[in-house]
Amino acid sequence: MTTTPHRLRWPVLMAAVMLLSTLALTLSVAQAQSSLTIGSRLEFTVLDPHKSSAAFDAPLFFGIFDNLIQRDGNTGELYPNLATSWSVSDDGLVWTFELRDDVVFHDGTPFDAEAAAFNFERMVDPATESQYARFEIGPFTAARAVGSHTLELEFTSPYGLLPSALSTYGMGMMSPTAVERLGDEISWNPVGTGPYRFVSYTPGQSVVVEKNPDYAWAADFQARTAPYFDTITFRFIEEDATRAAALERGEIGMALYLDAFDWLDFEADANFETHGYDRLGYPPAGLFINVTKSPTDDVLVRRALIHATDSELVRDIVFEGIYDASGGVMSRFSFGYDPEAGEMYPFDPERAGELLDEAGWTLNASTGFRERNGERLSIEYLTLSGVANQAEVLEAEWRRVGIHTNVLVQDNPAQQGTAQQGLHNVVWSQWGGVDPSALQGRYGCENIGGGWNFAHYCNERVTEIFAEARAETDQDVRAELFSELQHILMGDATIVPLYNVKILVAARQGVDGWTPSDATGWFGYLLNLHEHD
Amino acid sequence: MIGYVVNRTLAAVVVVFGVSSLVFFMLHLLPGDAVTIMLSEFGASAVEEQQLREQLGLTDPILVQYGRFLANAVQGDFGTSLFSRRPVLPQIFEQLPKTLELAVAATIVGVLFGAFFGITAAVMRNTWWDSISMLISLLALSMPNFWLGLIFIFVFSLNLGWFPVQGSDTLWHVVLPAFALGLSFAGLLARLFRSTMLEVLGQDFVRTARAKGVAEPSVINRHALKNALIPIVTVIGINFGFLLGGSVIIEIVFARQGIGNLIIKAIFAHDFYLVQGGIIVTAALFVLVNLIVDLTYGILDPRISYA
Repeated sequence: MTTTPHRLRWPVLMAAVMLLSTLALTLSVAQAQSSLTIGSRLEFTVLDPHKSSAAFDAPLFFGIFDNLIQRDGNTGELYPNLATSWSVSDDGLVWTFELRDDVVFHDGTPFDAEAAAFNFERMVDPATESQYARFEIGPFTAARAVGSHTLELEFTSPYGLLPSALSTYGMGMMSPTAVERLGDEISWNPVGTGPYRFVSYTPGQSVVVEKNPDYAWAADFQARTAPYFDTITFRFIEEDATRAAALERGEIGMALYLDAFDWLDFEADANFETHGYDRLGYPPAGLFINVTKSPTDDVLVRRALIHATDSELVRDIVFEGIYDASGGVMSRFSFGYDPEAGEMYPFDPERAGELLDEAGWTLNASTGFRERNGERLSIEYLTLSGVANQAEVLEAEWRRVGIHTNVLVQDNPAQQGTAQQGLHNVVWSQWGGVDPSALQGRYGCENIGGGWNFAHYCNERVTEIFAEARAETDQDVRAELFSELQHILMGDATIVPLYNVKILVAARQGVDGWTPSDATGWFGYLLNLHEHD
Repeated sequence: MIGYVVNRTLAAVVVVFGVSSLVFFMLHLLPGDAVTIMLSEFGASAVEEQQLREQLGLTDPILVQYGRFLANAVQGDFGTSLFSRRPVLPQIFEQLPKTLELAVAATIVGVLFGAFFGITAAVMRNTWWDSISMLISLLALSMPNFWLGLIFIFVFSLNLGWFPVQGSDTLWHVVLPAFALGLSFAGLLARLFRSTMLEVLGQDFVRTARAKGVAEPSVINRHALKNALIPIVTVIGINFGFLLGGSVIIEIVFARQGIGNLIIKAIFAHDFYLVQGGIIVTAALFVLVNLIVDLTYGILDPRISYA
């Protein structure tokens, strides 16, 4: 008699387990349809746009926050987002914005001119210790609500860059009531008006956001008007190979910033979709040439160096040909790019040889290197460990025209110290930015020795152009100024352009809508992410 | 015994103080600073860099900064991270459990495999098993753990599908990292177990035990092994300390939470408040673990006293 219940119990138990597991499976599948896990390389540094200085924080900011103005990353055009229209006073010092009146923050606080003014005051408040927003907003002095939904921003000098600056990742509008209620904690519990609401942050691991069901104020250019996924999880997986493996095994639905080789594997696999986005660069990846240190203090040597560089070979060898060529000091699709300046120095080893002969560096047939007065033509090449393989390719290319190369590998910030001292002839560098005026950081006279002017280049006209372009609001005039700038910088051969960085993304089949934002091409608007059949 | 613990604790405080001071000055010897990193993404000028530096208190003389650091540290305030803007200590303590989990798991892997191969090799010395065991331990010892980690991911996650690739959510997630990290330790321990066991097995009291007719398993377990444990426990203790700070590569390969990952990122970013806090906590743990190791000597060998 005692065995019968036992016999009965097992099948019952089994059936129950099967039922439960089926149920669980169904639930998890149902959940999987409306959730997405994105594997990103680096952990967000801080969840507060006004404090962040890390461009890779931006995908989150463009999910949780809206800006007054947003940029269509595909065309570079600016569109109204929380502002409906804007104008600037005749003296260029006061900007007036009309704001939407139907917007509410995630905590229920209405968005109005007072709230917007609070945000701008917060960016420049020393207590905020802003690292990026404060610089992006330029010569700002005061923000005023002059109507319930009319905002005035005042500047000490004309700032033509403002609309573009307002579209960047540091300019998200935060809920003023949340900032007051949470104090410092707000930086880790962000409250905005964006398509996704903050849910949780697990340091060292992940950030979770959920759909904002009230979202109805998407900018016109956006592909979607409302968020698709119920939840989106950002998972931080630093190692490229691990991130790729996690996507392959289905632990994440999308992997950002993939290695070129992994990305090609996914491209060949029908279970995955791949996207590649060009990143704006001012300048794109290349080598700054130090114009003060011999032998590159001679413009003939600098020009020869660019002619001797086959950047296509670098792109083929190091990036499997996925990356595009860059044009001079700007990426080819940047605002103001001038192809005439960008294509000034085609790959031409013969021409390089002629220039070097002209400069007095003659070939010593026994060594294969060029010499002048018994001194060998040698280039000090400073680079970072992550991109040192490019130096090997270039060393071989330059050797063919008789240039000897010493490669010095350093990591930041040691590299910056060496470059500031001008101990190099060429230094690898790559930068983003939303406007060509970012080049001032790389070519402004004031940034020699202490900043990022690694070419150690100072030119009076270039200084004037930066000042004029900063104040000018007419985009056509600005484009002309930047064209002139490119002709000067390339005429003086201050950079060896190498390639334009591409952001490589792969996702499980069906996940789509990763559109570039912020003009740098780095970051997608979470709003547009969706799943199709 | 209590006097001993008090003495060692005081010594530990001195050690931790020394370590933190050393770290403070070494960090300031490095070229560049956090501001360099912060502004590296966009076109800030030299003037703007200097403004930010002043705001963050980085322009004060180094001794003033050091004094401020000490004054705050004794009150338990290790400052605020320059990047995350969060207080340093909570940031470290929220990452610590996963590092301890990995260190414990890797130690278990190391001890289990090390003891098995080391003891059996010693007992069957000069047999084929002895040679094989020592060859395996040599291999385990020489394989770099990041490489093992990637191989494990490839074999056990992607091909066999047994374990997750990344994360530290469940105990299931700790298996591959623990093996990747623990196997080289197992190799080390196997060799150590073998040599200390051989030494003890050759001693008079073992011969006496055998002569008394004590069964061989009992000779190995009760007489030999217990006496062989003291050097092994010492090595386990020191190695546990290394695992606390040295698991960083494995934490990165498997995208785990952890203090190693946190500190290494802080070092690269010159976030020196975070580095200091992390190193002080790690150093304190290291000292604590070794204190515990010292105290176990008395349990293992009653002849040792702590007067």
